[in-house]
Amino acid sequence: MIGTKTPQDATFLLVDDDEISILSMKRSLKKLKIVNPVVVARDGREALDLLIEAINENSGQLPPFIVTLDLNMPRMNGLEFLEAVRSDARLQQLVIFVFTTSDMPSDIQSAYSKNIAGYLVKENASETLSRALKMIGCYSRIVALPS
Amino acid sequence: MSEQIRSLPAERGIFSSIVARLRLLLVVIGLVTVIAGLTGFTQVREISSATGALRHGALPILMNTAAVERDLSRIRVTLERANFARSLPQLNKAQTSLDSQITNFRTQISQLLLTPGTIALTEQIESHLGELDNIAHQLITKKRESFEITRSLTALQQQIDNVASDASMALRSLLKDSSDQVDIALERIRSDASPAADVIDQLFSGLFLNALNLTSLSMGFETTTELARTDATSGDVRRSAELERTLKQRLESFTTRLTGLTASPQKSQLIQAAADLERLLVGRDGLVIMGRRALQNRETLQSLREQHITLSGELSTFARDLGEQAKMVVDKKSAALGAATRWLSMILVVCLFLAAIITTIGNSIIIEQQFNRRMERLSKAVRAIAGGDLKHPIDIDGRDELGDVARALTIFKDNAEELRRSNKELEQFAYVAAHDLRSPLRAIHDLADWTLQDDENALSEDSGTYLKMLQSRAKRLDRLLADLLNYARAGSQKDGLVDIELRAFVEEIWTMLDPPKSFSLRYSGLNGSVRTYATPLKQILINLISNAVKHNDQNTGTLSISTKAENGWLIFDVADDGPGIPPEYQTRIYQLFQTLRPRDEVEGSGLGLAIIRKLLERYKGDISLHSDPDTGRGARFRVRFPGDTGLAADERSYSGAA
Repeated sequence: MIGTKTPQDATFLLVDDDEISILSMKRSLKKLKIVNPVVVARDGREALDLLIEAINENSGQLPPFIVTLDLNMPRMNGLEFLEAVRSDARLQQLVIFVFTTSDMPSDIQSAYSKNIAGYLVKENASETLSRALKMIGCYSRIVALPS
Repeated sequence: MSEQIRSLPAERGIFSSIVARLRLLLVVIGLVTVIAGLTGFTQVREISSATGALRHGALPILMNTAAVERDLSRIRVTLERANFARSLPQLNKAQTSLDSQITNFRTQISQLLLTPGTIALTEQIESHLGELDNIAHQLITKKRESFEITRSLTALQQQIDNVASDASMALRSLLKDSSDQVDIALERIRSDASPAADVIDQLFSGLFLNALNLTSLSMGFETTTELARTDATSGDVRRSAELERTLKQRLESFTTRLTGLTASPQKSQLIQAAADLERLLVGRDGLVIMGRRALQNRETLQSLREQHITLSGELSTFARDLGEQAKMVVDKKSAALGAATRWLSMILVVCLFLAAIITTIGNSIIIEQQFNRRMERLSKAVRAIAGGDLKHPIDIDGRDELGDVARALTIFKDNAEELRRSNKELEQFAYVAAHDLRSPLRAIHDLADWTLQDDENALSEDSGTYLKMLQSRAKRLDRLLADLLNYARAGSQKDGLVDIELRAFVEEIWTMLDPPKSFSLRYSGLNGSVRTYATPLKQILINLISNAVKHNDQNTGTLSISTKAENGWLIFDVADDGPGIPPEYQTRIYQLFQTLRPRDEVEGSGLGLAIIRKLLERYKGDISLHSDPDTGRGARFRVRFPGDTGLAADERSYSGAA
């Protein structure tokens, strides 16, 4: 599995400073029977460091990641994180869902302008997440089939 | 913010105001016009005076001079007629017409005398006319004299003829006597064979000589009278003196011869005749003297005629001069007229040119540079700022009104920027507040949810109910926060006009709200595409529809939405079959947090209609309610919102809303 880029290899990177949000996300993934590895970053800075480290470990290549990104975070918020991703050529392949309580149009607009895969509102986490994954066309392939 | 409000200059220089500059320009143009008008007026006066002078002066002179020449020639002709008059009546007639002609002429000249520039000439003409009049009188007097002289001469001739015939009769009788005596003497000689010498002597010395004397006397008489008759009125004065001498000699020789005659009645008769003849011929009023007077008279007449011819010649020269002068006056005035006309047209051209230059310069400097261009920049800046571009530069200065407006606009811009910044801050605050408030709320809800879901958590029935109640309160608080956020943000965002299918739009909202299946929607009205502000409209319809469903006290219900377009407005009638709203509450429903039923019965924040009203205020629309539970069920909300079925966007309402 290592070195290939199939969605099955994708690691979920949950970027959120709220413990319960992380918990909710993990429960949703479990509910959707997704067994991919999950890593957690408490803010944008941490997520970025984590990604750079993963690239370095993977001989300069970005391993597949599906990122759920909260917008309001300490140190580096979601929009700043998106800005940083956009300016780094190595991170272009990153699949990012903005996952937030904010439904402010200006936030949605500025997030979309930075090439995100989708914008999810936290209210109904598992449902919106499954919809989002379907949207990027890899839902069926990353969902673990029941044994 | 207050330190940004700069004070505007209260006073400015006289010409720093655009209006004053425009006025100055107008005053300059007006002055030019006045100058042009005044100069033109003087020129027009010049022209009219020139035409007046022509009409009242020069032209009458021209006409009068022609009349003067005509009158002059008439006078000349009349004078000639007087000169050559054969009878006294003719002369009298000529004199009468001459008098009237001269009087006429004098009047005409005195009229000419009134016109300036001809005084010297007319005075000369006047004096010449006086002379001419004088000559005419002399001429007529002389002519009269000459008629008298002729009459005397005729009378003298008559007398001379009488005397001559008397004398010739006497002479004839003497001659007869003398020839009788000669016959007698010749008879005597014939009868005497030898006439005696004394008889012959007597015959020759007496009779023959006597007869010879008589014959010579008779002939002398005849020739003398003939000579006097023919020569008295011919020739000249010198010849007249010669004639006088000849006549005197002859008359002396008559006397000598008469003395030689033997005394007889005839002799004394002849002496008498000779004396008479002498008196008639060379006497004091004799033929010779009369003839001489006639000659003298003729000469005087001749010279008078010459004088009047000369005079009238001079007069006609003067008249011609007068004509020339009049012509000169005409020429001069015509030249003045032409010059004035040229001046006038030149002044007009110069003034037109000046006016054109002033207008062009005024247009380019004041209107174009100082006004139009700056105005354009200013209006561009105003439009840009009104359109939301607060970074647009306002590069207009100057101490005039436009400068003031520009400075005021800068202040407005700064204020707007300040307002935008504070709005943004407020929004940021609301966002952060909502996020930070709703996150823990959601966490509480989720945690309760998970506690209920996870099988391994064994809960009592009460615990489960409490957890559910906790969830419901958390949800209520969450909705309240969401609605508050909505209310705070209502209309603060800029929404463009978009084209929507109204029926599909309404049905989509219905589906999204997911009402109970026992509720139905009836849509009627507009079917085509409309152009409107979709986002606020959607919020309004969501709130109205969810209210209608939420507040219905029955398990089933029908919602009727009908739409129509009216002069740039969309009219929505949202009618339900719920309990209706009593009139006493109808004004309260739009206030914040107002609900008509307890929150435990109907979940609601009390913000739905407040949000609608706020949005409608923003977009200049309005809402009204028709409901009276006493007469019937149901409530009908009528909403007026900007929008049009036409393809052309109606920006009017939005520009007001922005």
